[in-house]
Amino acid sequence: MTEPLLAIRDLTIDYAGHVQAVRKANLEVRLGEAVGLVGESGSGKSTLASAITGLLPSSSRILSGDIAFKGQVITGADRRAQAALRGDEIAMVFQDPMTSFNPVLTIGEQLVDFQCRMPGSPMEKLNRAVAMLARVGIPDPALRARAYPHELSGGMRQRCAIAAALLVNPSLLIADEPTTALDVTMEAQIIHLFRELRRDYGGGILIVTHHLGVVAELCDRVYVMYQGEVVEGGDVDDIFHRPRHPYTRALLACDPARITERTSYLPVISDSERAGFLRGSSL
Amino acid sequence: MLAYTIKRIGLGLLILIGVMFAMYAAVFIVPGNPARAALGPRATQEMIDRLTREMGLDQPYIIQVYNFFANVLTGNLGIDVMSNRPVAAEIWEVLPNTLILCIAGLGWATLLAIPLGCLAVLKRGSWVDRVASLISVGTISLPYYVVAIYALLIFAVKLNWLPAIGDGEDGDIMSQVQALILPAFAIGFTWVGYLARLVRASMLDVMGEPHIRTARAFGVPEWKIVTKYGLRIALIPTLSLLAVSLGGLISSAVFVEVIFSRPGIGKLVTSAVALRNYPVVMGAVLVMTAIYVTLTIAADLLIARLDPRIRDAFRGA
Repeated sequence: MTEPLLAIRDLTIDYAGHVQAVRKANLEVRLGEAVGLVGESGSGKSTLASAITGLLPSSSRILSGDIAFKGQVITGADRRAQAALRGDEIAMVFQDPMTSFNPVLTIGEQLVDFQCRMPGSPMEKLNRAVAMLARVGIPDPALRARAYPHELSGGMRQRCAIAAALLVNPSLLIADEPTTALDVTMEAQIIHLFRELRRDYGGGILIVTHHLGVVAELCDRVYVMYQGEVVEGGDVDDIFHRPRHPYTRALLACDPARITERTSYLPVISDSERAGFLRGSSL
Repeated sequence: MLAYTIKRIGLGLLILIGVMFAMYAAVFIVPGNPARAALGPRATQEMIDRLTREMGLDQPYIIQVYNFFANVLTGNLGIDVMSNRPVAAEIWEVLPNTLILCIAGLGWATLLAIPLGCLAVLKRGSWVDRVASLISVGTISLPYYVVAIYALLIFAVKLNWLPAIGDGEDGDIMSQVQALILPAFAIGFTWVGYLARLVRASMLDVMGEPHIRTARAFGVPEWKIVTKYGLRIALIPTLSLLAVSLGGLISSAVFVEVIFSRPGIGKLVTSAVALRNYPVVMGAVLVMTAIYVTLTIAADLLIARLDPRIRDAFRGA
């Protein structure tokens, strides 16, 4: 088997020296596949995603384990090597399209700056940006490139964010909750866009989300995180149909689409169940 | 944008009219007859009555305000009671002096404070940050008349490097610049701290925003993130403060003007107040208010240029 594009091995990250946000996490992404990382709020999935790009907040640090990109360990000593990957080999799409662009610069200006690792004159970069905006389904791309972020809708801005990430032609695209801040119509459009882009994008995609529907629609494989641990991982079909870990089972049971009988309340995960999950995982 | 500009200018004019009413009210409230004060202790009642009539002080309040207002519209700020010269000419003589002093003072403070604030943010928590905050608190704590007196003592009296008083020879730029250095230093000193702290605080806010993380995630160089992505937003509150402080400085530069015996509008007003020279006081206060109002409007328009969100909010206004 070939070397995975991204391999996270036994990674442990703590905040301020006492909260372990990620514990002994293992995860792999291969070229050409889309991998989902699901989990509830606070399960450590975003921290794990930040660790890949080396953009962890200064209060946190990697205690043990490592991250390898194309077979090369990028955590630890050589932070500069990791920084060099950002915006070149690895690109990110962030959660909130409202705040992920600078409010006082035009979209075009930012898309040009974001290609700072790419060759070419500013004019060429702008042309590339406009073409990419058209590619992600933005009407009137030349006009939109001159617009400021607040002049665009949330869905439009998220398309711009995806365009920004694709512009640098990364080997690994990390999307951190790409649809969470959008309404359902926009969400469906963005999922559709991702599916379409996957056809001619050859790199690996890591989608961080708490939305199982997004994973089912987009991903080949999925990892489930719970309280800082990756409790289960495997093919989407396997996990969705034959979940092994009790947390995954409980999580899937909460999906409203799976409810067949009329009920007066939606299923939730109870505290006593929670207490059982981690004991189960340590077995 | 145009509608907004017109609205702001209209509001500014209203403020000026309000100031005129307030100033005339003050003349009525403050004890002492300006005419008697102007003529001195040996004046007869007749002389006092005549001057009172000449100054229009026997007229009702509203008429006096109206006359003043009508005169101001024609550029006439009244006649100096002491020297019998037009007040407008007297103010015009000293105003450039004060403006240059304040702009030079705030100018060097700003040029030093912005890099200092940015540096503190870039090296947050390190000794650089601590030294920067020490400098800030130090300069804020020293009032500028103290700085002025010590600067005078050290650089003019002991070391004899720079002139101690005056504003330089007429027509000799070099001597004027030399005479400007110490007063401008004294004026700007306090502002270094204020501005550096403000820049640091707003930079910290901006640098924590998600769009900065986006720029970092794309590998945009850190200096570019600071100057283009961060500073441009962080400077907006600094600009408002600068405009207001420049307006305020024009009147409070008086301490420095007195210490260095520089002709200026602050010095003009203080001596006029001491002599109850009302036309000069009123004319100067009006001019200072006008400058203040103009600066705030200019700052608001400039901020709207820098921030497209504000620009769009005004489009609807």
